[in-house]
Amino acid sequence: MILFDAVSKSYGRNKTAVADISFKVESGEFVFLVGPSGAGKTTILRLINRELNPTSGSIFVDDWQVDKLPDSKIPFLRRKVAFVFQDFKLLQDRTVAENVAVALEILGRNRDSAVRRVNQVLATVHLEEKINFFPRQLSLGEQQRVAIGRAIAGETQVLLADEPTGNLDPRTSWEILKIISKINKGGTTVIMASHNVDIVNSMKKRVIELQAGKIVRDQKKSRYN
Amino acid sequence: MNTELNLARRLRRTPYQVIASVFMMFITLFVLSLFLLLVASTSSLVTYFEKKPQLTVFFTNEKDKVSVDALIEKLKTTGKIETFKYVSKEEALNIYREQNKDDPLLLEMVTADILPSSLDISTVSPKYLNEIYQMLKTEPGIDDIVFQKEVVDTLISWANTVRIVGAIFIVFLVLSTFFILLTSIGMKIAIKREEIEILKLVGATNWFIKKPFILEGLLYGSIGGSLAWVFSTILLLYLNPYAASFLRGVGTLKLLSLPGISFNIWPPNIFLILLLWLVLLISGLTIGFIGSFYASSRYLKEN
Repeated sequence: MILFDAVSKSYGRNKTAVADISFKVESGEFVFLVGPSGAGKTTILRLINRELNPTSGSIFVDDWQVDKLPDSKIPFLRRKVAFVFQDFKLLQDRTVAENVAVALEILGRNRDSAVRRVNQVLATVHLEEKINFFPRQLSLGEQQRVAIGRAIAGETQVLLADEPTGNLDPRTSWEILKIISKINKGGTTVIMASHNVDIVNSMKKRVIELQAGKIVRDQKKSRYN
Repeated sequence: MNTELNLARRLRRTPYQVIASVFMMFITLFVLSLFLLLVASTSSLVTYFEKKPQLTVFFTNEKDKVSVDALIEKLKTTGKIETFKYVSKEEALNIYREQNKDDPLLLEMVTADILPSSLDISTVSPKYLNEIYQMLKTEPGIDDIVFQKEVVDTLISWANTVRIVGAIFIVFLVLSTFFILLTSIGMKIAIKREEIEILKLVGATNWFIKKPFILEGLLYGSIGGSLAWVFSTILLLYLNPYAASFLRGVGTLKLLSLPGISFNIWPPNIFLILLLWLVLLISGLTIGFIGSFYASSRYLKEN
């Protein structure tokens, strides 16, 4: 469960990224955040994984009050709340397997268990054939699949995706969305910021629409507009 | 897939920084090793001389045993003397032979006649030494008086100088090593800023991120310490014959003793060499750990 309670975030005096927003996302839900650039979609995602702290209001992820979480606990929040970025953020000097294994290494998994899990995850994201490739040897879609694999390899309960299809062609975007949808069906909560009208419309999931940092629409089984 | 592999990879990528760090660590620990050996030697020598008789009176050939006994009686009446030991000409020859048994040339030319008889004296307290010395100076038939206190004082003064100069030098070198580690690891962290940011985003703790840098510092420390030990041991073996002539007559100098094991500073034994390795290794690991821990903590806070 993710709860935003009257959350505002400002950068300096004049720039308000989100203003007094409240919403709740139940476990296992799939939610799209839509709206124009600068509406506050990315800020919401970054507030959930404590990359940012709100100027006011409270944020909860299950029992954890994220805005009050001590710095030492932030890594544990991020193991539970994984992030998939538009620019993938892969470790360029590590292979596909090693990029996925990072999440398990952080959890202190032993080698055998990590190898088993990496193979499982790579099967889920259809990258078994590219296990020893480096990111630069992969297409953009494949790189995003590695990033998703890394995000779900550990103890992930919530997947935050910031325009994960933003750099991809329509066909690859659909492949990525299918994978994310499959992960959601497995019980992982997904919150995805997207500009992709086709994807949002066809998925018929809950849509939270933002404009100038405020929620202007929050509908279940909805469309982009 | 593990931190150790990442460490090997990052070492291969920055060979010159690795060489500079290890070299600096080696120099620091090598100087530390020389300093420790010097301090240990001088301290052991001081103890050795402190245990020796504090005054040795050498008699002229005219002084016979009867007048020596009279002198002893006179000294006893002062109540300030703890022990006496009379060394006759024959006994002096035996001591000389023992000390020079490896040099037949020196043995051939010396007979008991040319060696003086002597009296080793220890006072109840060092404060009476000067008084007894003054008293003996006025006695007839005395050729020379060796005042061990002077030797001990000179040694103590020398040992203190070694300690002070060595400590300043060591502090300077440890700080230099520390700053080289700080710069070297800081640069690596700056180069890896993006990787560190990604690791933080996927839930890595600060300790997880610091670990490879700290392992790197420990590696520098252990290599530097071991190299310093190898060079110190070579130097120790090289200087052994020179020290042997300088320390002629000085028996075994023990640095410390454990049940069944004695760490001899002179002549240096295997246990001392192993102890030196242990000390240098622990010192290297400590400098490496503190330097890399501080560097990684500082630069991670900044980035």
